[in-house]
Amino acid sequence: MTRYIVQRLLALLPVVLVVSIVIFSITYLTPGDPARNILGPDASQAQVDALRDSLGLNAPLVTQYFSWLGGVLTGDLGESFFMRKPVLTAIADNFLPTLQLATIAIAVALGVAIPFGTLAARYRGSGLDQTVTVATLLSMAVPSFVLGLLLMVVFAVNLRWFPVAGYVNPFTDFGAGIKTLILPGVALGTIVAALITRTTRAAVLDVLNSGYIDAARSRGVSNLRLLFAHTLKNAGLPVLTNVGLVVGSLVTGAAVTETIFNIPGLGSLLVQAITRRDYTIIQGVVLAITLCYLLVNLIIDLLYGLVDPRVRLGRKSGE
Amino acid sequence: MSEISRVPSTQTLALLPARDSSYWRRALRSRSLVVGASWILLVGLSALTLPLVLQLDPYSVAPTQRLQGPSLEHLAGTDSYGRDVFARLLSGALTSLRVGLIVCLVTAVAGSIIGVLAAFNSVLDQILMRICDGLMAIPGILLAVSLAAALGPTISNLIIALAIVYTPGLARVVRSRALAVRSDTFVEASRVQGARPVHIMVRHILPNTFSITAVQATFIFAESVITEAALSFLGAGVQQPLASWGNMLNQGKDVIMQAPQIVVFTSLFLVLTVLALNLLGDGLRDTVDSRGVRPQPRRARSSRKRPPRDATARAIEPEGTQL
Repeated sequence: MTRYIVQRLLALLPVVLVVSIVIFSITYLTPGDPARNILGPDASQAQVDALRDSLGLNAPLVTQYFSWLGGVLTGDLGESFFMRKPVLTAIADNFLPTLQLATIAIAVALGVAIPFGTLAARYRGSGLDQTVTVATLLSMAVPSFVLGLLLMVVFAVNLRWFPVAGYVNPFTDFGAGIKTLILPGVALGTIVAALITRTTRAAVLDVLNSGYIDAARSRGVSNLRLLFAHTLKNAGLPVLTNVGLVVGSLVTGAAVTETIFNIPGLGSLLVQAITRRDYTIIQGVVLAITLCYLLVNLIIDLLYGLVDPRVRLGRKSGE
Repeated sequence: MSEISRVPSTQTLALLPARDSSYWRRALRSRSLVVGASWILLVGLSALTLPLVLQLDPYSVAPTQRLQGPSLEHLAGTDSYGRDVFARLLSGALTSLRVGLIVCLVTAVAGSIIGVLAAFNSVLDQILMRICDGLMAIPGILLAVSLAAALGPTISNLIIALAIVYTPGLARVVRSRALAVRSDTFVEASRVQGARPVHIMVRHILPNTFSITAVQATFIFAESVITEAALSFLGAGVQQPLASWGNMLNQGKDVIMQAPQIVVFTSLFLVLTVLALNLLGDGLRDTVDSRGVRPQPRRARSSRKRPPRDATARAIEPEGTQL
């Protein structure tokens, strides 16, 4: 198992290296002088030069990269020019709402996807199956920010069941907090639910066709037990992998959904930074979210190895 | 020479699955492909012709007619500047379809080149695929947003950003197909005949990746339309006064209490177009997939799993795969 973990971590190194180079170069893609871009056309040349110095823009590119990377490794992501505070603090301040939103979304998604995916596979070809298939197809065509706006029109503007926008921390006021997070959570969870439903359905179908299910059935195991104890347990592994893969779209979706509902999360921070061309914040947020994504997938990979001995012993690492 | 001429032409074998007439017949039989393509054509043609015919101007501002509801004069009402929403929807359609189409073409070309090259040189493979892994590790919209924000919000920069985001995924798919085709008998035969690697790459491997590229590119088209809308919504994409579904949604959001129809109509167009592109992709996949030719029990059709092996591999399977 240790060998497996080490293998997985080593495989991650080149990926992280490329990610860091891409994120570092974001500042330098900008046409013109980054310092000039930050200060705007009205700033004097002396101000621009001073900022160039403090940002370290006069050093060779490679030196700049390594000093930036060194900073990242020691937890120093630089300082936001506009917010006058360290990027890491800004990210920490905005992390909780995004995490809460993502948690609600994944709860909604799993709550819908697992039962419906399983039943659609069990009663394959039935009306239920067809409804589920059409529903997933439709949900996948609706981007979360569009669904968010539509939900807002129906449930906040017309029915007035939920507030139009805003955020209350559920840890300080649970009822009001949940109320502000339900609409964005559903908006975000729906597309994830569609993706997971499809995987669940395919995985369950796969298991239902296998010999040991026939064997269990011939021994007289009840239908319900067969479906949920025998089948779902074995179909769980591919579903788990898929959950890891959708975490990426979940987090970015959260970023966009937040701006619709004015939730002060990482997404709102990013959008503010984009309009202000606050590069250190953009780099920091993209890095933070990407690392979260890689970490979640690493954990799921390791869980996979823990649950299924075939993965640990086999050659799954070569894919 | 006479020895070589008796070897069956590898060219014919390579193109075996691509019988044109049956492609078209199968394409027309696929309901999702026809429905999807029709909607895209309908939207594209209306966006090109209707503004001329109905004298619609997406830019003409009328401060006295702000936020009006749908009427005969303004089919989808007006926005907060008094501009005709229907005219802007059509203009936005043109923006979305153009961005999507260019991104999917650029991605298809770049992805094919990278994928096929990677399949042929192991050193290049390591370098290119590590870069692809790194780019794919950054969630798509996030990468696109930061690239577009850094490059500056113009349509061409938007296209560059989206192409960078979607090329790695396509390159991986093309690479795995190219690797599979490379070990097939007809490529082996061509090599034995003394064909140079470049010839094998261009004449044998590349044509066999076309079908999978076409399917993937259609899905990338759909993705680009969504991502373009998201970017424009966030202010990192198409800028006002140019119309895009994304920036229309952003504007509509600000007046959602007074004029929710702007958000509703724009969403409807966006969702239907994405749905149509997804249907087109699904239909295309079924058409390219040679399983569609074989008679199949009706029941299994709607819920069949992905075929275990690809069309090309199967088409040349029958004799002597083991060399």
